[in-house]
Amino acid sequence: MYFHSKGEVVYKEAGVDIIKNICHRCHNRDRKLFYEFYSELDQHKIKYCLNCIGLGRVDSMTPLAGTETHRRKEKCDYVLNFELTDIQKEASKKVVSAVRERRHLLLHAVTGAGKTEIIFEGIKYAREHGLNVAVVSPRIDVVKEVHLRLGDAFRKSRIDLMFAGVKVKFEHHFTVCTVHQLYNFHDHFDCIIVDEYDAFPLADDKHLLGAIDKAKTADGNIIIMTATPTRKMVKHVGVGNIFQIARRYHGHDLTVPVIHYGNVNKEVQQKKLNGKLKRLLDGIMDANRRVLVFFPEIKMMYEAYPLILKHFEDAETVYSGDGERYSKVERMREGEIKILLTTTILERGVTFKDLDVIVVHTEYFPSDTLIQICGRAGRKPQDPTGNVHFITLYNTHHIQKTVRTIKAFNRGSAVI
Amino acid sequence: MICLYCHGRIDVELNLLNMFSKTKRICQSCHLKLTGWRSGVRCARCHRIMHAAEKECRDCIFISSRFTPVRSIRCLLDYNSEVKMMMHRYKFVRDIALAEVMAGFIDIKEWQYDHIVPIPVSEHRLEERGFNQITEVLKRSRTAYTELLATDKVKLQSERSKAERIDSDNPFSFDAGEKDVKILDKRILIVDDIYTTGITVHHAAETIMQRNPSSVDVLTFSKA
Repeated sequence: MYFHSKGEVVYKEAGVDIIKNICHRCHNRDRKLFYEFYSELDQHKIKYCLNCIGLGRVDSMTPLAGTETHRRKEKCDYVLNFELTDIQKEASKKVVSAVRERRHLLLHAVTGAGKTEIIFEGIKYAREHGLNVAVVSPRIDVVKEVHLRLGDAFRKSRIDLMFAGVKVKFEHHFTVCTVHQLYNFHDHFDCIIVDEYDAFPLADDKHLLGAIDKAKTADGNIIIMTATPTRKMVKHVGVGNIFQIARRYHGHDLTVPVIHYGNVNKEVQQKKLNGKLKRLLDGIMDANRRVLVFFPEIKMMYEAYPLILKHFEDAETVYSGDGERYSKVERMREGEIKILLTTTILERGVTFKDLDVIVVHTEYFPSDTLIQICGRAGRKPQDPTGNVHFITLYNTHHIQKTVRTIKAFNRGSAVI
Repeated sequence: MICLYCHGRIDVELNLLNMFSKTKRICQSCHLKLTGWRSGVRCARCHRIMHAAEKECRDCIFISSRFTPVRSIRCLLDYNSEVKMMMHRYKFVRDIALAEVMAGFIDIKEWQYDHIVPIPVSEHRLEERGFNQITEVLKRSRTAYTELLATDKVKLQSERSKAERIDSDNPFSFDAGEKDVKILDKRILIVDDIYTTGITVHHAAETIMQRNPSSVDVLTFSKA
C-alpha cells in the first residue's frame, strides 16, 4: 500500500494510536517523538508523530489512507554505451539471480567499481516479471545522481523520483527515492536496492532501517551496495549472500594513502599554515590538479581557510548546511575552484577529474569514512590513480585498518 | 528531552545558573541557525534589507503615504532560510510543536501594553489549518492576549502579488465579542507572524486607530 492524503482505502482509522503511542506510518514507538496538544477547534487532544513529520503530519484524528499496491509487467529495455567488465557482468548475474530467487544480497564493491551499472540487468528482470522495484539511498545527492543515470539508461520507463520537496510520481512500479520516503510504503516493493547503506543517517537510525523492512513485501529482497560493510549488514543478508568486487571498473589499483605527521590545528591557532600542508598544496597546484581537503570539524575548517587563502587563490569551503553547496561542487567540477575545503559531506557520491585528496587530522576519522575518502581519487580512467595524503598527529587503529583494507582490495580480496 | 526543531537529543548539564530558568526546547546549534540575521543594510524602522541605491526604505515610504504608521516595529527573527523552513513546517505541515520553539523567543514586556492583539485568522483558514498560528505561540509563552479583530479574508497574503496586496481593502473589522473592551487611550501591541510589506499589520492598526488608542506598536515573529 502507498500512503497519501487522497488515498481511497483507509488503512487505519487514526494514523497515531493516542494511548499506545504508535505511529502507524513509520512505526515509531518512542514516547519522546510524539507531540500532544489540545485543539480548540476540535475540543479534544491531538497527538502526532514527530519522527515522520517531514512527510506531512500523521495524527490521532485523521485516518491513514492510501492506494492499494498494483503490479504490472512491462517491457523494460535500457541503453548502455559501454560494455561491462567481466567482474561487473558476474556481479550483474548475481543481482539477477538474487531478484529471481528472492534472496538478499550484499554487494561489497570498492569505491568507483561502477555499482550503478551492475543493477541494470536486475531491474530489467524485475520489471519484466511485474515486480515493484525501489532504488533508495540515505543521501539526497546520491538519489539525484542515481536517478540521472537510471533515467539515461531506462529511457522508456517511468521512474518515480522522491526526495525532500521533489516529487515526480507515476504508479510506483519503479521508484528512486531517499530512505525517508519509504515510510509512505507498506508491503509494496518486491525488490529494494539500497545504495550507500552505511551512510548517515541510515546507519544508526532504527526507524529508518525499519522503514526498509516495512516497505518490502513479506518475500521481497533487499540488495545492499556499499564499500564499507559492517558485521550487522553481513548478519542481515546471511554469510552466503555476499559478492565482492575488489577492482575498479577501469582495472587500476586503489590509491594507497601516504601518511605524514603534523599538527595542522596547532599551527593554525598560531596563525601559521602547516609547512607540510603548504608543500603538498604547492605540488598539486604546480601539477595543475584539483584537491579536496577534508577537515574533521567545521570550526577547524573555517579557522584554516583564511590562511590557505593567503597562499592560494582558488580555494573555497563547503559544509552540510551551506546553501551554495551544490553550486560550489559544480564550480569545482568546472575547474573554477582548485582547492575545496570540506567536512565529511563530500566523502561519497562525488567524482572530479584530476583529483588529489588531503585529510588533515586523520586521527579523528573512522576507517569507513577514510576508505570512502580515499575512493574519491582516481575515479576516471584518464587519471586512474591520483594521490591521497593523510596528515595526522599520531597513528591510529583506523588509519592502519584503512591502509590494510585498501592493500587487501588491491591484492584481490578483503575481509569484512 | 528532544529538540523540537531537529528532533535530536538535548543534554543540558544542570548547574546553578540554569537551575531556575526555563528549560530550552531547541538545541544550541538549531538556536544559532534560527537566530542568524542575513547581512545587508537594513531599514531602521521595518528592518528590511535595502538595495545599495536605496536611501530610504521604499516600503516604509509607501506605508506612510497610505496609513498612519505604527509607533514601532519589532521582529524577533530574521526570515533566513532556516526560519523560512520552520514557518513552512509550522503553518503548512501543521507541526504545531514549533509554536513552542517560537514562544521561546518571545520577550514581550507585558506591563508596557494594555492590550496585546493577535492578527486574526479567517474561519475558513482556521478549519483548514486547525489552529491560529499566532495565538498558539502567545499561549505557549504565557502571554495574556485580547482578540479584538475579526477577518473574512480568504486568500493568503503569500498567495497574492504585491500589487494585489496594496489594492485590497482593509479585511479587518473590530470585534471584541461579548467582552467590553475600551481602546481609548490604551497602549496596544499588534502581533503577527511574518512582516513582509507591512500592509496586513497596518490594516489592523488602521482598524484599531479608529478608536483612538494612545499608541500602537507591532511585534512580528519574523521579518521577510
